[in-house]
Amino acid sequence: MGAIKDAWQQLTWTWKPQGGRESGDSIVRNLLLHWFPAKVNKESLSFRYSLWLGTISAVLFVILSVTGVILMFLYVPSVERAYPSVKDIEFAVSFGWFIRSLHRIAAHLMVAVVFLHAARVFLTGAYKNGTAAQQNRPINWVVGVLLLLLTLLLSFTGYLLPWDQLAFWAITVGTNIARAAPLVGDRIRFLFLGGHEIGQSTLLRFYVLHCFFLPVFVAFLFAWHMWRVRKDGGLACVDRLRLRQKAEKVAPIKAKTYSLLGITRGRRVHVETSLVNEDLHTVDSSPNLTRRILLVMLVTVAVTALLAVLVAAPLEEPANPRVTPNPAKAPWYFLWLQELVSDTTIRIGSFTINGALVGGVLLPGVLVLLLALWPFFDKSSVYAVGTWFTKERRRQNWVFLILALLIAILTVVETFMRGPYWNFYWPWEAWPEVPRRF
Amino acid sequence: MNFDSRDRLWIYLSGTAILVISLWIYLGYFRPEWKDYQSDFREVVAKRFGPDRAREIPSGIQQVWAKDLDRVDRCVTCHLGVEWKGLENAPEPFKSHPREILTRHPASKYGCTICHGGQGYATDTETAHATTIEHWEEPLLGKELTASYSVSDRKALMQINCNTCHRYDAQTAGADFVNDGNNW
Amino acid sequence: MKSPKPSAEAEARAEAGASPTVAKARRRFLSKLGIGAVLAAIGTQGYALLRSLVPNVLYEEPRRLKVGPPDQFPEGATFLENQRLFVVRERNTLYAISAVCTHLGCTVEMLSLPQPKSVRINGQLVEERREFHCPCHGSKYYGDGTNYSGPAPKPLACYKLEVSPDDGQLIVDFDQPVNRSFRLTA
Repeated sequence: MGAIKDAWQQLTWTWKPQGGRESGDSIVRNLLLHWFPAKVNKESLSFRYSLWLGTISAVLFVILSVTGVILMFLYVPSVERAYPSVKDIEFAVSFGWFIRSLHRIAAHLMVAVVFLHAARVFLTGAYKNGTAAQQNRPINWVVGVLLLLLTLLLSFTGYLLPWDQLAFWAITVGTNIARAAPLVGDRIRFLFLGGHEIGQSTLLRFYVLHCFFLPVFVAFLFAWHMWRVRKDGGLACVDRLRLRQKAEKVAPIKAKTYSLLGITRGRRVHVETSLVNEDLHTVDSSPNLTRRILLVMLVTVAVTALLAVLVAAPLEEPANPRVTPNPAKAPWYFLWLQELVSDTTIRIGSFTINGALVGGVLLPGVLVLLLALWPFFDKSSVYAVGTWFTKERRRQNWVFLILALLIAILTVVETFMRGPYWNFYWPWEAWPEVPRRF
Repeated sequence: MNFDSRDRLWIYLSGTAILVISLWIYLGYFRPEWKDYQSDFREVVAKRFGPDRAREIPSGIQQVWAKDLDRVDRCVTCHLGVEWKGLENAPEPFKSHPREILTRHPASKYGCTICHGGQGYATDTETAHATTIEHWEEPLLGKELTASYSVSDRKALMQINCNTCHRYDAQTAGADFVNDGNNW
Repeated sequence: MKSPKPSAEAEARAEAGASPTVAKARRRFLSKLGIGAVLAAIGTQGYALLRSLVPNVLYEEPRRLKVGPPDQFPEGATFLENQRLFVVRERNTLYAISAVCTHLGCTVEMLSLPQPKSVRINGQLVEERREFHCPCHGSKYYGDGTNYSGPAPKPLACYKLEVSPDDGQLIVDFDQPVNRSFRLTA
């Protein structure tokens, strides 16, 4: 009995440290915990600052990976067996309907949460450097934008896999927009599709991208993203705290602590071991940070599971290249693009510029580039870092919010108010009946 | 700044929420619709044929895999009496299937939906009969559909599916409406 | 004589002393309940994930299936290719013997003997009309399935035969192996 208790103690002490010294030790001696700093800033732990959106998207990624691996045992990526295998998952596999629904809900939530996380970072100016040495938050912002694009691509490749009408035609619309890119458009589409038409090679390519390559890229970029956060001294609110400290003229602390973050400045080896007064502003990561992470994990799983039970995953008729559904829509996160594409065809006399080029390639291309490179254009001072809605960055925050709102409006209009033949219908207007067999 | 007890409360609450959701899911796992039909069938058989035959009745999802037609039909999960002799006047879904046509078109080779329509993949009544659901274009060609189209002969609509294979036959035994149409 | 009443002060102290312990015990109980709920939640979700990988339906030949009316099987052995099975009729008795070699699973070949051969199986003299030889590694079996040569470790399996009460067809049940002496009278 005593031996079992000892073994249990050996396994779990790092999660329940007694006192500051054990807490620091547990960070160093536990494989999972060594990713965290020994002490974390109290401000970073607050829900109000970051809304923990980054953690939520990471948890959603884990949910997707776990349910995804299970689904890989059950789904068959061949054009003959894909649809029947999804039907089998829905009806013949125990809990299959739930695992599929959980996977789908987590996927849609992840696209939304990753975007919200990007918005939060933008609105708090957390892509800016503070006053500490060797920070490079702009790079981390670019890594983040890449992660956002990868998230969209993961969702897009996964969308095709059920091989039903919804999947087939959504990908038809999406890949045809890509075709409008000048010079390389057709070639990109050819490689993406593995041919001229969406068929077996497309399905297999999308499957391998979705299950292997894109998740591996995400994992790598995620590791870099986290590493950069540590290297930059933590969340941007820590820099804000430090600047306030400077204003208060607090003497720099030269005492060594258990923090693993050492920053040097100047030519002498004067180790400034942390940005702020640790005793006042930090708490032990184990158990405070770990407990909050557990909290966020459980709440995210609960919300996702609840939505998965309440909202059924759709599965329409089997994919039929000869029958186009009316209307045929891209996945919701590309609907704003589809709307732009249908509205931005420019005709000057006999000269036509395809809307797919303007609305589908140029406009989003410019927006994404602007988004990624904005930190390098931002001229605001260091005092705007890590704060919600500072006066200094008011204009850029407004522009961002307005653009985000426009995209949201387009998405809503597209979802509910575009009907058959792309005609506009108010929400209370009924759509005309589309012919069916019975 | 760090609310130890508040965090713990939320951890316990969300854990309980997930547990409640799990229990709701497990309810569907332990008591699916077909389980009740299977236990009812066992009772019917025990009463008519004795407990020995009732014991032979399989439990769980049953399916017929018609390889040549690339179809899988799970109708027999509930329609357990289809190949039994002696259940001609049993209530649905336990009724025996008319003998003659089943001998010419055995269920193990043809399945069920190739003639009757419906969604073979499904394991609950509404989705399987597919008369009221979206996105399945082959509803059960039975009572409900004949009623809504006001067709007098209950079996008439099924003859549509005879044509799946017998389209180029001059006459098909048992498909009177189709034969009439061919005569024109 | 009555014991002296405790002073008001002592009473208050006693109450103050009692409630922290009760509150602590209640907190500990709720804590245990909460942790239990979290563990149970993880457990039920984990079980659901793993249970989904145990197949409920199989895209295979059924384990218990009809192979045709008994009259369809002539005197001697009939090979059913899809089921890898020999259905043998000896006058009015039938039995089913597997064609799967017990060594490494190849399908054995039947050798019809031009003259019935007398062999000694388990001390008894038996007349056999056929033998089964495996082409893969040379295992040899007598007509009743007994292995007598080659690497095969066990005799060929025999499966239960029944007559279906519905339409009189022969049913073979691969989930019910039987003794080599099993015979169905039809």
